[in-house]
Amino acid sequence: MDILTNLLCILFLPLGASLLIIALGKFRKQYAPSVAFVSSVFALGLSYTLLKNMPESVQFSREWLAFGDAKLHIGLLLDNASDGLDCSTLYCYI
Amino acid sequence: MVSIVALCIVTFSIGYMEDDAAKGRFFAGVAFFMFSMTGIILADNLIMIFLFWELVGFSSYLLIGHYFQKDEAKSASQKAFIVNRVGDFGFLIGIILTYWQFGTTDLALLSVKAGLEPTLISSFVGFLLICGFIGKSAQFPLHVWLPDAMAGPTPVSALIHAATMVAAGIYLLIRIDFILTTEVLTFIAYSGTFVALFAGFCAFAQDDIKRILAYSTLSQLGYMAAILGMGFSGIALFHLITHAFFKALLFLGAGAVIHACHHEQSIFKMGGLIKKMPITAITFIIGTLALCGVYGFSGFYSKDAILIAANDHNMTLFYCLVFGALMTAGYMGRLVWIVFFGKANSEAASSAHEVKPVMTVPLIILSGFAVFVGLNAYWPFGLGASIVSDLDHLHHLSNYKEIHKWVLILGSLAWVIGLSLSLLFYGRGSSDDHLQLKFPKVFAFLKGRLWIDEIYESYVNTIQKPFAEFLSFADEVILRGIIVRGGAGLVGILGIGFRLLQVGKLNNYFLWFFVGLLLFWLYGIDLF
Repeated sequence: MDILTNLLCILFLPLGASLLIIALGKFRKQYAPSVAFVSSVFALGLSYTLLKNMPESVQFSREWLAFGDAKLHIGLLLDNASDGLDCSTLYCYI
Repeated sequence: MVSIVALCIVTFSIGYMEDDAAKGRFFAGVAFFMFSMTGIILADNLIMIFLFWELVGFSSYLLIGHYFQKDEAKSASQKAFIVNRVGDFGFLIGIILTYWQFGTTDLALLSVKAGLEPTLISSFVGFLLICGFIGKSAQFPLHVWLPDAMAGPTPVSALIHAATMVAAGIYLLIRIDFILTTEVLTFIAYSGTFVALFAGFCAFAQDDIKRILAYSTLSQLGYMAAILGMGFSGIALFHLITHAFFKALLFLGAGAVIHACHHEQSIFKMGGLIKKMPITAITFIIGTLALCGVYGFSGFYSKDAILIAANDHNMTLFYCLVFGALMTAGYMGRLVWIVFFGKANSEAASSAHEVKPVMTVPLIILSGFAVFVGLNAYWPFGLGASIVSDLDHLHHLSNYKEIHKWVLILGSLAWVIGLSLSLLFYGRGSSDDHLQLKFPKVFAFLKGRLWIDEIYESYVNTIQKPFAEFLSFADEVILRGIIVRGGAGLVGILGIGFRLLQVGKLNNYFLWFFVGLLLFWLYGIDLF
């Protein structure tokens, strides 16, 4: 599984689980905990696979809307959240 | 982190929500929340962050209001939703202005542009952007929704109001710290320290086990904000992660206690539970020690780093944070002694027994994390790299050894004194709060929570509501009545007025007839 597919699965798996639970409705509510549990286990497994195979940071972006020159993008970014922090510039703020 | 905590909480919920008639709705809400939270983490630009930010707010609203039959839950969910929208409005304006100034909302591009053209960075935009953080992370003055949000099911409190959603505000700041000016960061540092102290004081005056933990969460979020304001995002992230694990553990432990005590939440109606619920009690105590920053537990490592950085930057904030650590140990000690030691103070507590394995296993797993997650150098896949770089920065301080020794002494004294004082006052367990009986006025003041709720209520009733009614009237009469519908609207409005005269009583019609005649007569004699 490539990184983008993996990321998309991690993102949309809980949404799928939520929709499935709603679709099961009132009369199959006994399956709701199992569906939520299985989706959580898969999400954790996918996260593990992703982190194991991931380069330092990864970004996927594509154009979503364009109004003349103004363009809006949607995309996914996975990095070490505070890697961009440069301590030398942020040091001694107070 | 989110995946691990969520899995533990979902597993725990299987037992906790077993008898709930609406568990389908609950699990659908939890899964939807997971989707929204993952979206915030993976979004690469501010607009996507905002979209998922709102979805998180929506799912939080659904989950807090799970027991919507209860008025408390209903109003708590509405309060959380509205207060968060106040913050989000500022955040949205901030995003629009960011786009206007930088021409992009892409985080990577923003980082590059902010580096190349620092003149584009403005404090005004920064203050607007942090409104989102203030709302979501329940910082002063938008902190009022978090303690009330405890009306939701306890696993929801663990997932949303301890480990993940409230941490999203801190995560946002970590993401955008490069466009925050010195003024904004200074404000964050001071307001964070204030919240750390204020919430600590409030926690002392609470009887509800979940509310104590909620104030503790506020206080720890204050720590994260304070260190982030000092420029150490990595250390804020470190404390965010350690806190997520031990606070989820504490909330789930509280959930197990509440479940065993037949949904009793007052700590003064518990007592002696360590004998009846040994696994829950031991794991809860592990979580408490981690939260207090006791040596060897995860909270020690992150709190130690926070205190070292604070000591190096601002001694006033440092002493406030040390005092906050003392209070943390004090109110958590109070909770542990009263709930788990002494004798049972109610029928519910005396009939309590250990919860099922499906609930205790997540507690055991989380307690493992609460001990070991602080060893960030050993995290797999280099996850702790950014944290290590911040810690390295501290290690390279010229007087690091001296500072560290000083911080170790004060930090240890804080939890030793806090736990000892709580042992002194509450060590034998109690059905009353001795301190409250001695200082009733102080406790009344703390329970009042600085009367922020009352101030908001007064503002809404005296200013906002009349203003909204005026706007509604203006909309009905002027905009929709006259401007949009023109002459027809005017006739309609006159019709509404004349309809008031049609009361169906003959004597009224005679009255108006004679008033009309009088007016004609006055007109006839040239009085008009």
